[in-house]
This record gives sequence, structure tokens and C-alpha cells, in this order.
Amino acid sequence: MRLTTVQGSWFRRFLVLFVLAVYVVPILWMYVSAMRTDPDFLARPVGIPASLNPGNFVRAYQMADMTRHFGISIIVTATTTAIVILFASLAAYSFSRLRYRGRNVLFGVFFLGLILPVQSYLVGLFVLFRSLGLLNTIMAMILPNAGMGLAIAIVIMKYYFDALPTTLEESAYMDGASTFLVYRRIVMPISSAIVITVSIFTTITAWNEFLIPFVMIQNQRIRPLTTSLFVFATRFSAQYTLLFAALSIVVTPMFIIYFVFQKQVQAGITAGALKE
Amino acid sequence: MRKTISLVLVGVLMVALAAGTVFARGAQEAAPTETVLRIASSTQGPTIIENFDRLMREFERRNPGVRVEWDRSTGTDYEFTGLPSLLESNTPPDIFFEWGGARILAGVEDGYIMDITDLANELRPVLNESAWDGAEIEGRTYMIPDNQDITIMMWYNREIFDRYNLSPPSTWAELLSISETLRNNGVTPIVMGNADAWVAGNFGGVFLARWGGDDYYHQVLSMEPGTRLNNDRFVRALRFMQEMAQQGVVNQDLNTLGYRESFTVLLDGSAAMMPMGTWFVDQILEFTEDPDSFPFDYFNLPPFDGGQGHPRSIMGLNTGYVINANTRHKELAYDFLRLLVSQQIQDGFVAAGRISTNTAAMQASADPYVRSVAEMLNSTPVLIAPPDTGYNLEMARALYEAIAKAFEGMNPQAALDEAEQKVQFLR
Amino acid sequence: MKQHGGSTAWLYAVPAMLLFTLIIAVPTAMTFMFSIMEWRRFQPLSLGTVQHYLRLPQDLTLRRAFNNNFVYIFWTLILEVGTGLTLAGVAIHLRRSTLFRSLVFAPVVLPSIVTGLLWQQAFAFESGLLNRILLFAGAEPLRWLGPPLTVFSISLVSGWIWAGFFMTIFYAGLVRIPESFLESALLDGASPLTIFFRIQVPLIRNLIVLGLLIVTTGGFKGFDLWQVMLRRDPLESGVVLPTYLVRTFFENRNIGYGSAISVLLTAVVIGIMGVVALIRRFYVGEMEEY
Repeated sequence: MRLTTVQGSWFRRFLVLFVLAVYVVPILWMYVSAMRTDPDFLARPVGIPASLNPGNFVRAYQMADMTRHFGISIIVTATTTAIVILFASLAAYSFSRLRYRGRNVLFGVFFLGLILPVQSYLVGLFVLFRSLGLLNTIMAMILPNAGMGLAIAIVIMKYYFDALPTTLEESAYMDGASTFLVYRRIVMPISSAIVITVSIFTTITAWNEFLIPFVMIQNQRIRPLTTSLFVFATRFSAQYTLLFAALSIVVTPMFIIYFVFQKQVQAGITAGALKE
Repeated sequence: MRKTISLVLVGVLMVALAAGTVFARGAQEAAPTETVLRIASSTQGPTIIENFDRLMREFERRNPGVRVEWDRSTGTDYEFTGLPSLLESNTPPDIFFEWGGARILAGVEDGYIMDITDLANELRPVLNESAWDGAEIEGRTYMIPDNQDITIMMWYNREIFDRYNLSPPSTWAELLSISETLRNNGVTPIVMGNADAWVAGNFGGVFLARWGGDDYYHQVLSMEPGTRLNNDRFVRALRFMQEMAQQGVVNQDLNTLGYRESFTVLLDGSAAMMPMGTWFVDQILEFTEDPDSFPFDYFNLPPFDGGQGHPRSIMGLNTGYVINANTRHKELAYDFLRLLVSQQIQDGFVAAGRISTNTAAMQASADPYVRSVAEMLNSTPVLIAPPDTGYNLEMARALYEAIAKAFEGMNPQAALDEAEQKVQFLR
Repeated sequence: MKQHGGSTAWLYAVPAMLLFTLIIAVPTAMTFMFSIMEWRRFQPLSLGTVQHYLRLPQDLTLRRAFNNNFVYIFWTLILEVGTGLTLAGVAIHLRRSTLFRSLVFAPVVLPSIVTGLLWQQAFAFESGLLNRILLFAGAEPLRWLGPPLTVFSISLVSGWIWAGFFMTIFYAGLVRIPESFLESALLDGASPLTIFFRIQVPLIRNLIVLGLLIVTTGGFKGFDLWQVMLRRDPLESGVVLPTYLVRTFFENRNIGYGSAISVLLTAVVIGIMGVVALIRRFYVGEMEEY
């Protein structure tokens, strides 16, 4: 609702401008500094640059081997999301629609998984993956990411399925359809909205994951974007403008995608929280 | 719609898995006929990297079908988390960089480091005698040292010193008066980038030994029974550091300034001195536009009165390479280390400013800097080991925190009491 | 509806269950078991020791970590939930708030490592954005990432990231409140501020309790910002449970003690959840909410 009768006071206007500044200025500072030279930046870190030169972007892109790390992150994220959607929708469908013994207990277990912080199992996970010989493999990112994303996806999807009308399914069963056919032909097609929401949530979480690769991956060649950027930032922490350029490169595509799909992204991210 | 979603999902899964397998395999195993020799080390500056690349190419030329992979990507975390994680991974290094001393002992006990006494005996004639300190345990040798480091020497900007008519101090009082002159002219006397905890930690370690006594320092840091970190001598040493901070001798943001960032402060002339090791020469090239201008020189920390240790002791240690006890390429690793310490390769490292263990390479060098550092090392009455690389890491961390607090101007007694409380569990 | 299933219905849950078992159930059980074992690096020596738990209450760093976690939660309650609520209150009065809202939400989608690195630069003593602004305003520069500001500065970054998230949640709740609820108050001449605090905020209090839950449990889970921004934290002024856990386990290789810290952290998080659930039950009640 909107209180249209209330006039915008100068205070509110100031507040809005201040808030915008708080969000825009650091980002702007990053982009501008990325196009300066180190001596110019150090002489006046904030201010009008002597000249703007996009050369740092190219250098940062090459030196940080961005193609490789973007690639790794894309593979890890896509696989994680695919696994989560597939596994979670199957499980949520069975929790919502099918009747079998232990169903509620199973769902309860996933619900419990929702509240466990990653630190509860991090140590065990490392030791387990070490003995399975999975450390430093791409699977050491995909499997934990997917496993951690499952619980929330199942809970969200189950509640969504619960709220769906069942008349279509009933008539399908009358025609002798199997449960899998109903899942594939009826439930999933009408649930594309929740599939998108969960995909967005899972994708962003997996893309941004830092702790798991920080712990599991020491091989530079398969580091995802997050930890490779951390290593880059440690190595080049004193090449300020280069670091800003690297940050800009990582941020820009995410900003573009976000501002294009902002409605869905906001809904996707907040959905995870609201279901708790 | 129904089909599209499931098809897309399955498609994405397949593509990703396939790509994932290819990528993962690419990272682990190259062509099946190719043998990969993995080497891990901490980060290095540009000239060392250049020399190491040359070494790898030469080794690959001599050993067709072998590819050398050098992982130096763990950054400053190599010492703490990088190396241990690499060793636990399923692509562990065959050869890895180590600091001589307690770390070798720990690595041997943990089963990571191979006994290479036979190789050491073969190489003994080529290398300098003192190089083997810290590489041997109870008559067995575990490391091939290639480098002798001084951990702390005071680097200074000659141009700034000239500008204010200053010369390297020979007493502590002189150092303080130099500092005052600099401060009065708006120059930070000593800059340290201690955000990674070890710069001030190493620097402070020198004072612990000089105040506490060299043997005493070793006993306390080895956590021998009956010793404790919060002893009076160490409190005295920390008070000394606290006074330095209060007199404005060190930069006030030292505990939040990064190691690398501190070099830019030194380079742009806003600070005049930096306590740093022999690797300074190589490291600084990473930040300077003009590699030919090198306005820096060094002096040993001047002596002061009242300490129990040798007033001119030096902190330093040998570094080198060890072989993973579980390597599948023992012979190749042996060959690699033979090549590494050969004069052919070490000449390049010496030219880059490193103090090589190879006697011939050192004798062949006319570089005045290399000669003077070697002279300083050879003539030192006492060589003390740095707390972090020379002793238990957890103990060093607690001690470094106390040192950082002293430089922060905090109460030395309270800082060391805390450190002692933290190491209780290690005793 | 009639329940369908048959003997194979449980198979649908099997893939998820297997993955869940491998990644969460088994490792959690392992962690709990490790905490009562003696270790030498990766070699388990013997089972059935309580020494790790005895060490917990005497551990100075652990106490400091707890303290920092609580200070962090205090600040983030203000900077994330408080700011989020304020921003939502401002946004409902804006004629076109979409751009404003998407901008403030934007940091939520970025990896925290990127945000952390950017703010690390902004906090730098010499070349940082904030100190330059302070100098420009004629104030003394601050050492943002050192004591006594360390935890506050990290909270500030947290607030920068998450205020938009809570704003979005609260905004969604606020716009769901029917206009009729507010009209009588408006006619009585109540100020927008009064309406906000007396009518609108109480009506979305279940969302605010949710925010409380997210911030208090999240305060014990956050790792990235601390790890990225504080480097090795020489003064130990910004140690928190998650970073201390990683340090104990991956740096000191102390698996038994690291596991004990894990168990403690798990207990704390679940304990907080229980407390918040109770608050929800007794103070939020069953009244109509938005």
C-alpha cells in the first residue's frame, strides 16, 4: 500500500540520497580505480583520476586466468543445480503425494538438515572425502554444494506441491497413469515457477560458495572463481588497481544478470528464508 | 513445457558431468604417457620465478616425457594451511619446499618426508657445510638445502638517509635518533606489514633472543619442561618493543597493513626502513616500475645494553626441498634435486640475489651484496631460528600475538600471560 | 485425495536421501564421534576421551570468539534488521521504489568474498575510501580493521550486504497490509512515523522474528568476510567460532578439538533456534499477520 497523502519530506529525500550514495559510491570507486594506474591511485585514492585506461581489465583477466575459473564455476554451479532440482523434486513429490511408511520421518530428517550449520559436518566431510580420494576434485565441490542445497529445496517444493490442486492427477490415475508419469507429465510441468525459484536460489548459493572450495580444493587448476579470486587478491594485494579490475570483472556479469532478472532473483533468494 | 523442463534438466546434467569429468581429469592426469612431477613451494618474487622456470624447462629437456608442475599458488598461506592441504590432497606434491628445523621433524613424524640420506651424502661435497643445519635429525638427512636466508635484517632507503644526512646506526641509541630525525621530517622510520602476523613476529623474535639469551630463547620456544613464555626476560623484550611503538619508531597501522602493501609504503618514500629477510631483493621487484633503480641497503640490528643474548646475533635458517615420503617418482625427484643444487642452476639464483648453498656458485659470484650477506652469515656468532618456521606453529602464533600486542602499545606482561595460557595445552 | 504409492514409492526419495546421507548425516556423525577420540594428525588413536570438551571452557581464544560472535550479532541486528526495517519503511512511501529497492538488494547476490575484498580496500588506512572521506571532512582517519573497531567494521559490511535482503522481506510484508487498517489512523491525524511503529511494524512482527532468527544463527555461521578481510588477524581481535574452527582443524590439524568446537557450535545454533521458536510461540501468537 502507499500512503499517498503523506508528502515526501526533505528528511526522507535526504535519506534516500544517502542510502543510494552508500551503495553506489563504493561500486563506482571500484570501477574508476580499476581504470587508473597504481601511482595515480596511491597519490589520490579518491578523486578525479589523471586518466582512465581499461588496460587493467585485460591484464587482470589474463593474470587471474578468468576463463578457466569462470568455466569451473559454471560447471560446478550448473551440475549442482541440476542435481538439486532433480533429486529434490522427486523427493518432495513423494513426500507430498505418495504414501509409504517412514515418509514423515524422512521429511523430518531433511527438515533437521535445514537447521544444521555447515560447520557441524565440515570436519567429518573433509576426513570422509580424504579417505574417498575426492579431495581436489571437482566432485568435492559439486557433491557438498548439492547436498547442502537439498534440504531447503525439498522443503520449499513440498509445500508448493501440497498447495497444488490434485484434480488433474486424479483423472490421470483414473486413466491408469503411473506415479512417475504423474510426476513427469503433470506435477512438474505446472510447477515451473517453483523450479525457477529453487534454481535461482541454488545457483546463487553454489556460485558464491567459498568455504567448501577453500577447504577442499588446493589445486589452482580447478579452483572456482571465489577461491581463485582470494588467491589472486593475496598475491596482488599491493597492485591495487589490478585488484579492483579483477573485482570489477567478477561483479559486472552478475550485476547485469541481476538487473535483468531482478524480480525473479529477489523472489528466489527471499523464498529460501521465508520457508524457515 | 513438461518435456522441455525435464529435457533441459537432463541435458544440463549430462553436459556438466561430461565437462566436469574432462576438466577434473585434465587437472589430474594429462596424457597417459606423460609423467608429472609435482613441486610445491611458497610464493616467490619475479626473478626467482624466472629461474625456477628455467630449471623446470632444463629438467624437462633432460627427461623427455616428464612434465614438471610447479604449484606456488597457495600464497602466504603455504606455511600454515596451503602445504598441509596439498599433502592431504589426491594430487600431492612429489617435492616440496620446507624451512629447516622443527618443521622437518614434524613432517618426518607425520610421515610426509622421506629419508634422503643417500642423496644428501652424494651432494655433500657440492654444498656448503653449514647448509645442513636443520636438515638432519639424529644422523639422517631429510632436506636438500638450496638457500640460506637471513630472516631479519634492516633494509633502508639510501636516498632518504642521504637526504637527511643519516648513516646506518652502530648503536641502538643511534637508531632511535635516526628515527626521530625521520619522524620530524614526516617519514615513518620503520614500516612493517604485520597483518599476516609473521613480520613483526620475526622482528620481535630477534629481541626475545637478544634480551633473553640465545640458549634460553631456544629452550623456551622448544617448550622445554620448566620454561614458560611469560618469563621476565621475554616481558622485558616485549616492553622494549612497546617502547619502540610509543616512540613512534614503527608505523601505527602495522597490525592491519598487509605484507605486500608495506612494500609500496617503503617504495613511495613515506617510510625509510623495513625489517625483512634476504628475499627482500627479489620481492621488491614485484612492485617497482624500474628494476634497475635499487636505492636500498641493509644493516644488522644494532646492539643494545642489558640483554642476555649475543648483541649481534642473526635470525636466519636454511631452506630447501624435501621429497614426499609417498612419492611414486623417487628417482625423478632425486634427479630434480641434483639439478636444482647444481652450479649451473644456482648461478642464476645467486645472480638474482639469493644466498646459495652451492659453494662454487657463491665463489663465482662477484655481486657485492651477495658477498656481504654471505660474509654476515658466515661470521655471525649466533644464528637463531625464527619462531614460526623454527618451532611449533601453534606456539609461534600465540607468541606472535603477544608481540603484535606489544607493538600495539599494550601491556607486555598481560600479553605474554595470555600466550602462556594458550600454549598450556601443547605442553 | 486418495494416497498413491505402492511398494516402490519410497524409491523417489532415495537419490536425495543418499546424497543427504553422504554429505550431511554421515559427516555430522563422524564429527561428533571424532570429538571423543584422541588423534595424532590424521591418525585416530583411541576412542572415549572427554579431554577436548574439558579444554573448551579454558580456551581463551574460544571465549574471545564467542564474545566476538555476540558483539557481531548485536551490531548486525541493528545494521541488518534495523536498517532493513527502516529502508522498508522509507520504500513504501516512495512513488517509484523499484530502482531503489533493487539497488539496495544488489549486494546480496554477490559472492561475499568479492564484497569483502572491496570493503577491505575501502577500509585501508592510507588508501581507503572511508578514511579519505573522514580526512576530507576534517576528521582523524580510523584503523577500521583493527581493535577496537574490528568486529564493528565487519558488521558494517554485513549490514551493507544484508540490509537490502531484510528490506525486501519487510517491504513485501508491509505492502500486504490492507489499506483499510491504516485509514482510520490517518483520519485521526497520526503521523506516518506513529503509523509505522504502532500499526505496520506490529503487523509484520513474525517477519521481524524471522529476521532475528536468521541474524542470530547466521552470526554463528559466517566465515567468508572474517577470513577474507582480516588476513591472519595478528591481534586476534576478530576471531569468531567458524574461523577458529577452521584454524584449529586445518592449520593446527587438531581434529579432535576441532570436532569438539563443531559440536559446541552445533549446540549453540540449535539452542538459539529453540529459543526463537519459543519467542514465536509466546509473543507472536496467532493474530493475523502479514
